Amino acid sequence: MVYIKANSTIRNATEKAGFRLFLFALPLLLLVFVFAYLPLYGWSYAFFDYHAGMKLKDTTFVGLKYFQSIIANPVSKAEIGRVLLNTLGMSFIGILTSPLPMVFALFLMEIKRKTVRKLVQTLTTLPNFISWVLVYSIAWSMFSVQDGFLNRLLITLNIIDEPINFLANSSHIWIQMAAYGIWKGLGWSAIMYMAAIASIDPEQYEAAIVDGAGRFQCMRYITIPGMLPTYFVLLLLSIANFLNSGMEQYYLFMNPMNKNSLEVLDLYVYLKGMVGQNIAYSTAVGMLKSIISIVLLFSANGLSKLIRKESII
Amino acid sequence: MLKKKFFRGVSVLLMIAMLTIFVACGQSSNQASETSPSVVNSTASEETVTIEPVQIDVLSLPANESGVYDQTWWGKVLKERAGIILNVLPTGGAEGSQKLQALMAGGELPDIVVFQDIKDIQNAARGNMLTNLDDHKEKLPNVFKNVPTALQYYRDNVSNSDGKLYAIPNNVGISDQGTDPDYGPFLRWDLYKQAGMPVINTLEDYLPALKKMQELYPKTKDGKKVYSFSLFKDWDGYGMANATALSPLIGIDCGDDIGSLPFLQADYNSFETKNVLDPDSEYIRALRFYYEANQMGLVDPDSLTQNFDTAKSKANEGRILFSWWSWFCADYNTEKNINAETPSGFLAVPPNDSKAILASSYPVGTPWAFSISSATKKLDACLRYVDFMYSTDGLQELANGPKGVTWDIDSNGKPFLTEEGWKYVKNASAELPDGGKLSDGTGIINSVGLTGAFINPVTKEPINYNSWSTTKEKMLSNPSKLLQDWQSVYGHKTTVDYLKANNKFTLQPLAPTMVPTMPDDIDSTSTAIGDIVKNGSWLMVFAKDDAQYKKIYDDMVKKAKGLGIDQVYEWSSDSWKLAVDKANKYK
Amino acid sequence: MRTKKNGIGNSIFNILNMSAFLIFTFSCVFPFYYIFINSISNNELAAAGDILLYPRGIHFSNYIEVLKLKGIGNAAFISVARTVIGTLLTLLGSSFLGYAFCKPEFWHRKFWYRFVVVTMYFSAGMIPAFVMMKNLGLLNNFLIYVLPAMVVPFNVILFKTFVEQIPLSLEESVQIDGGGYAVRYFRIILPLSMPMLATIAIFSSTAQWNSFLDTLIYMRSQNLYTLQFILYQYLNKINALAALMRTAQGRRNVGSISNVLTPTSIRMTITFVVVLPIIFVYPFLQRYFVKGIMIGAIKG
Repeated sequence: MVYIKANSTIRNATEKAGFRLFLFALPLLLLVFVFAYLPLYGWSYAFFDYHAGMKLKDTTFVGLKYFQSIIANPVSKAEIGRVLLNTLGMSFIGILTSPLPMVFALFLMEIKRKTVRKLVQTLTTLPNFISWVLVYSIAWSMFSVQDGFLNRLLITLNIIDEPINFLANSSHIWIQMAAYGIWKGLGWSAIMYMAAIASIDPEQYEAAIVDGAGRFQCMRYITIPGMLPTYFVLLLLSIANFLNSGMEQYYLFMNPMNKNSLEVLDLYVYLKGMVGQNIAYSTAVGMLKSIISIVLLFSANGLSKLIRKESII
Repeated sequence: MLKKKFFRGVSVLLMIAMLTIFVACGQSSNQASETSPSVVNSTASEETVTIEPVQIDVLSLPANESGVYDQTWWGKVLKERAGIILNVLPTGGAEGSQKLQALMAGGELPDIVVFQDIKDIQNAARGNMLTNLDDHKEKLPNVFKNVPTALQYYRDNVSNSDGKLYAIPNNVGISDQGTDPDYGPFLRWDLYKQAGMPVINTLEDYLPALKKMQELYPKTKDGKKVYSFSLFKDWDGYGMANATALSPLIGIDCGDDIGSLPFLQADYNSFETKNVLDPDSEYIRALRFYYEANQMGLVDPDSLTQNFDTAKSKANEGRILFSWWSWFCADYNTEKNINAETPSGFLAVPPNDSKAILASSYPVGTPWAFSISSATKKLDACLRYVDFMYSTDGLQELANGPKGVTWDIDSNGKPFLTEEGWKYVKNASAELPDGGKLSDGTGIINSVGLTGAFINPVTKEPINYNSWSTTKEKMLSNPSKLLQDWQSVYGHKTTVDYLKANNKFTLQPLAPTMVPTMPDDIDSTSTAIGDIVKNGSWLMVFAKDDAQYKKIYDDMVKKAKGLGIDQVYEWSSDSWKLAVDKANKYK
Repeated sequence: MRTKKNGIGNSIFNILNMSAFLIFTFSCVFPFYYIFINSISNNELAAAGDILLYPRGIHFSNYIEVLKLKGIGNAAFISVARTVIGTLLTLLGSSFLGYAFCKPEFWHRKFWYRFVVVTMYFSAGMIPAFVMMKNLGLLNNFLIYVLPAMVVPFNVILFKTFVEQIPLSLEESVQIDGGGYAVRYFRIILPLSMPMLATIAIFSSTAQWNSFLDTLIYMRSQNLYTLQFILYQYLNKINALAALMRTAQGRRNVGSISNVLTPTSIRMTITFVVVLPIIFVYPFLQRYFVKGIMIGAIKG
């Protein structure tokens, strides 16, 4: 009896403290509610024949018309199949290469010269700031047929006789695109892992060394496990983003020769005029994508619970 | 140690933060008090000089700059003559039209809006967001005097059929035909002569001629390869832009000018129409033309991957031989090139079946339009501004700079550019004494009521210096060596003179400016089909052989039909018929 | 220091590791160098793709044009202000929320955490957001730059993940008389989380510094323009001149264009102008990315 009573008092106290903490956080949660949830009333546009300037009550209810028109006829069904395949393919490559920033941080921390390390760390974030438009114009000056540096070099060295049209070449286009993406984001994404490494208790390393662990064992048994929680969280978030592969990069690198295998969902939706002027239509598309993302998020989380016995969110 | 430092840091930063917030808020409230309306009296334009200038907010969708412009020469003109100061609101690009959508969803528009799309005007009018300008007729004397047909057209067609006047279109009046048509085409004149000036009866005859020219000049002086055509894909609309740029040579439009009627080919002489994907359409003829050019080695292999900027810079360097438009190759025609020992440059070589489209008159203007918000608290100031933008006197100052500085009236009563004025015309980025460039007067808000060729009843001369007889005389008085050579071959001073003398031209019809707005479903279907057509067109041009060419064409047509091109075409051709009827009505 | 086990293996590893990083670093720096030499070379040559290894026809008119833009001084001030304030607010908001979500006793923790996380995946679009801001009376107000950014779900998640790795004992072992959540958060969690705070500061300040769309949509008075907005508008103007020629109507409205400034050279100049300040700030935050330094310092 006494034991239970004591226990419940403690529980009561913790509960109270927990509620107090909630109250502390409440203003912040309110901000989230106001800026992220309240505007969601705009999703109702997807079900009406809405044009800016009209009151919603003056517009006609069209039900699921806009959702249905996304795959209205056989031609667009076939197109969407192709586009989804591209999207999934590229997202899959993205997930395969997702450990790279972690590896980058791991090895970067093994550079003992502090100045070199800092320099590398700073300079490798530079590509993150170069817009895709400029990335393309740099790629152009390297790879174009007439003026490209590479073609001129290869011809001068007599390796080829006729210039090669690298940019219109569609072979391995997914891997090409992934390579540009990795180059642009590697140094930048590694920052998060650098922070994770910095938080590892140095005593762990000292203890390991005393136990006779070498450098690689330290990396394997201390540094990597220190980064893994961050990695799993980011992985989960990117799985939920499976359909949102972005479009700027693909839009700029796209040409009639590679369009078939380069067109991802976001780009397709853009090129088919589903975003932009037509508010109802773009709302429907955005809403659908949001819902799929959230479903993916919770499925992946469930999977993690099943496999790693750990829920991430 | 560490904690203390940390706290000190945080508190200092927070203090800065608070201060900045206060400063920023203070600034914006100052702003508000400045702009509060002052009591004004606005009857005649003479008296406006004494009016305390009122600041009005303008959202101009065509504009590319924003801010308050009181410290410029033209800001001064507006302050003194119209009694207003413009605050041009942030806008630009695709995001600018999104901003308009957002403002409309919010239920009120800024004082003045310059629309770019008729559909937006209709939506805003439906939401009661625009002032009926007919109610203020007495305060808009110049508007009602100078553009009556345009007003009637807008009452009839842009009002959701309530007959009210919600907007006034831009660029009303006659248009200057200039010296060259929009589409020449323009060839490297020196090489064309060297090749023996092969006769060009029709489009396809350019290919053998260009082939010869390219053989004569395979590389530029610094060893860069020369191609006849350098194409680019970033201008594509519903079809390949470079392909729609050929049929205007014979007075037929297949999407270049009437892009708002998708997949329609319209003959500007006979008004006959055709589906652009028909095997005998001008669009398919153009694709075949480029395909054959590519087979002959005349097309730049970078065409598939380059953009307009790159193609343009190739034209500047003289690495192309064929240009659709005069401005595209104008930067190669430098003083040095066209007056060299052996002059070199681009000049028009129209085909013998030419029906080049020449500008005519626009009694209903172009679809950009001024409107006044129904929510404005400064209605009088807005009316003064709009009326000023339709007054010949007002525009004469905004377009040409301050009178007495950049231009003046000569002894015959004709306006002319002063020495000072020519300086600013030649160096477009130079700032005038009171601040601002010469082109800023109408360029910042990028919208003007009357055309530059509109006749000012006082001087009996056009408004804009470009079209003054004095300017034209001066410009033609000293032709370059290159042009002299061309003139001796064609026997005329300018291309436009030649085309007119030989009846090789079409007058720009009114109908394209009067097409109805596209319903949403037609709009999205067209974009979807356009995506297929564009891609197919490029693949056809770069097909390996006839069999592949045919296969891509069939595939493209099949997909386009599957997506519903026939319904879109039906809408387009019906709309064209309507537009042609309207054009007759508002002539 | 560590014992010198497999000394040779170690040195080979060091050399390989170092070379790999240097090669990659070069591949990151070269494009940036390329952008720089193109932005100071003759614009015609740059547009033609003739500048590759060294600048030619050096001039600084691109930079001068950019620095001469109307109102750029005030805009730079606003940009700095929103970056500093916005970043501080994000640091405070996101880290506190992240910390709070670590506490199992947080009232309905799971629900509220998910409540925040899922907002990463939806946005209602610009129009409802605008109407929202209008109803809140935030249009043409500096707060619009910094307030919505106070809770960034991604940062909350990062911070929570980070704090969870800090040994719980550390938070409890440090005795603080009557220490409530706020005290523990400020005295222990924040100092311990410097590496993660530095990370969030980098992400958030970059985002604040680079953002321009909110100015375009929400602002009316030019006192609130940001640097990025002014640069965006300038670039847009250069592009629009060329784009106008695209339609027959545009050609009628514009007489002629002369391509003194090409969009590419301006874009390059702007990239350089915008990135430089970030590159200078970054090294100051880097001292928090050293293995084990924070925990060591607290414990010591």
